[in-house]
Amino acid sequence: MQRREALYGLLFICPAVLGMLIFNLGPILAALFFSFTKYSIITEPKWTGLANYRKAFTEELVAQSFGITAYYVLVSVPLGIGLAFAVALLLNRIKGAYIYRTAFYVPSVVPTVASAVIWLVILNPSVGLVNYFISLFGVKGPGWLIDPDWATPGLILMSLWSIGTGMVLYLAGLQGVPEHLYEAAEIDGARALRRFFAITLPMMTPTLFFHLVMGLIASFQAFNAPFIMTRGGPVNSTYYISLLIYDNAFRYFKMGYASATAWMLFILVLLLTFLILKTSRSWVYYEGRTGGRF
Amino acid sequence: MRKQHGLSRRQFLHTTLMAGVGVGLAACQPVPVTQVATEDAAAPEAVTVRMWHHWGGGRVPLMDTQIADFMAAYPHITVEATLQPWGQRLEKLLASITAGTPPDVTMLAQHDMAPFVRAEALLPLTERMADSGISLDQYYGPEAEAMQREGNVWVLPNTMGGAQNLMFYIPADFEDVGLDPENPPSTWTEMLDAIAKLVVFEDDEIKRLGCTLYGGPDGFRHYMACNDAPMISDDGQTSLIDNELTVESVQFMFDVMEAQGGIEKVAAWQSTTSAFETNPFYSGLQSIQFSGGWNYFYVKDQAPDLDYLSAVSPVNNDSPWVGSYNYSWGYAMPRGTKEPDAAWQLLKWLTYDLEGSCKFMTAQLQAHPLKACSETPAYQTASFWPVVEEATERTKVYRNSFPVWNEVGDVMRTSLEEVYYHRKTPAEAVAEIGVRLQEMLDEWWAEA
Repeated sequence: MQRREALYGLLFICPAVLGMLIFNLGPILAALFFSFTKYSIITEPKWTGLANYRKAFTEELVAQSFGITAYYVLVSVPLGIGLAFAVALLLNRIKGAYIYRTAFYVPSVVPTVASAVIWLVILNPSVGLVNYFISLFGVKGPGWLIDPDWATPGLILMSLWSIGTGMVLYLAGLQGVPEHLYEAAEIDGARALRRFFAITLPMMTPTLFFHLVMGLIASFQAFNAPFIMTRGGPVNSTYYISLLIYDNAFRYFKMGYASATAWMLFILVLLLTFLILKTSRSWVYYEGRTGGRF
Repeated sequence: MRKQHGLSRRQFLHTTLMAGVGVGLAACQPVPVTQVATEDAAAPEAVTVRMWHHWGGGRVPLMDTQIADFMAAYPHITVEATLQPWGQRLEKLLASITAGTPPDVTMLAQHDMAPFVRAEALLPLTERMADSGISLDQYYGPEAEAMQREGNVWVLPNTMGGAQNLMFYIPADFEDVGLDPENPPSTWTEMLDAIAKLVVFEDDEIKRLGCTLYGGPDGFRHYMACNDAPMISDDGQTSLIDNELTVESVQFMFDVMEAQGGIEKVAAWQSTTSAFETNPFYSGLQSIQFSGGWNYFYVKDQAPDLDYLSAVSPVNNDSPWVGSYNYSWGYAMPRGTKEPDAAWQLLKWLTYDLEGSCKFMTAQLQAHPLKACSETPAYQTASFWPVVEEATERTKVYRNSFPVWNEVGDVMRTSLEEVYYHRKTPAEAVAEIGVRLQEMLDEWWAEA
């Protein structure tokens, strides 16, 4: 019986595994090979060893792209997590919560292209909603997407538009926090803030951990919004690494070089994910597991 | 002796199988275009040709008509035309060629052809042109120059690369500020003076723009040409871009920007008008606009009551050129074309034939790179023709930059923005472009 169940299990995961091997692992390994070659897609790849990596490590634009991508990730990911968690807490136990939940979640299912067009108007320095709101306080809003110093903050602001996905995760997590813990804390005289830090936050760390890893990976790959809204400008201030990879691959016909920079990005994300995984033992609490701090 | 009646089981199965295969093969055959074509033994075999193009928007019905006319003229050829987005044209074409499933005919910009030619991804058209009696001297000079690469023609154009540098302006705005609409600015000095007068501010924001510059790298090349600035040596191997004339061109673009309040104000105006207006020039929000010959059609289509005039672009230092050849759309046959003969018929129709391409372009009021198409009463009597003709003949072709067109264009765009945002002087920006351009050329020729 167990063998049959195992067989069924394997059969059911087969499409996903095959899909991953063919459509993910295949291209990943192919990109690794191409990263050591000079390859223009329509010609045969020529082996060049580490030349692409040497060039990528010395090119100023690559360093600049990684830098502004890191800036985008470092600000947008914590902000996204914090805001999604805060909204989930607010919507956890209020009347008519399902209406608000839907309202917050809907932007997550709007295609990026449509969102980008909407946000081009919202962030318009002259007639946009954001600057209109700022002007109510007697302050002139920034140039957002047209000012090199404000273009990335503009895109970070836009990224918060889709906190709905994270919010749903946190809401699910909050539903799973055992009620008896709160009851015990109340009996012990714990106030709301204390209950949050002693119960809610520790119990939510697995969800926070998951969201952090996924958010990090997604943010490093941010492409659609800058591609549509700023095309990397002004003055390359939103020229994230994904745009650099795209341009080299499909506009300059340098697939080998693009593959090398893509692999550099992959290794960076892998290292960061590994680092988070390693540190997670000290801050993520799993019920039933001992050794955690909580 | 037992006499066998009817079919044995084996015979029945065999007959059924053969009939099934026969029906299947018949069903898989291309659908005949007309009944006559299949019945006439001498008629050419019916074929289907796949074609990719970028004629969207108001040109869709014109394109449909052009294709329908072709299929009526060549009933044995069925055309499957697909409108592709311009932005992703290269990646889609690359993918299709690599996968062995390219379209039989594809639209391709002249400046995109160099890497495809080097990779032998296009079929040369020179022999077919000769067989069809098509010669380069039938085209306007800059167009013929841009068509050739490595001793062959690879892309036959159907839009004019040289009529992209025209100055459209509103005469009423000129009169309002004391400028003579019959004598629009013809030098950069006059241009700067006119812009300073035409721009209107309200609450520290631009209410009416004097003029937008021909943007990004296209504008960069355009103003270089208007100052007769060299870009690359004749052998294509050395960057000449770092010179005083290019610096003057960048300085002029910067001065135009500053005359209208600087990049922040102009960009804010642009972001507002691009969000809410189809074209600010049509709505009284802009006095001068640089655009191509296609703008005559757009005005007719979108703002038929607009009172406007057009002229060639102002120049500096008595430059013989009023602009650069930035790109033209044409058609090519990718390697791997399944039906080369039928594809050639279609390509010729889309670029050369009077009933095909010429008719299509005339309907858009666009001049044609083929002299025979443009030197017709429809154009010669049009009020805009002298302007288009002059712009066409006075176009500089930076053809040696085609191999690194997109890459150096991106560097030009960024460097220009750095100048606009006061982060670099024109001389510093041009020097950097020079260094980067040389690196790109070295890399390109190292692979040759």
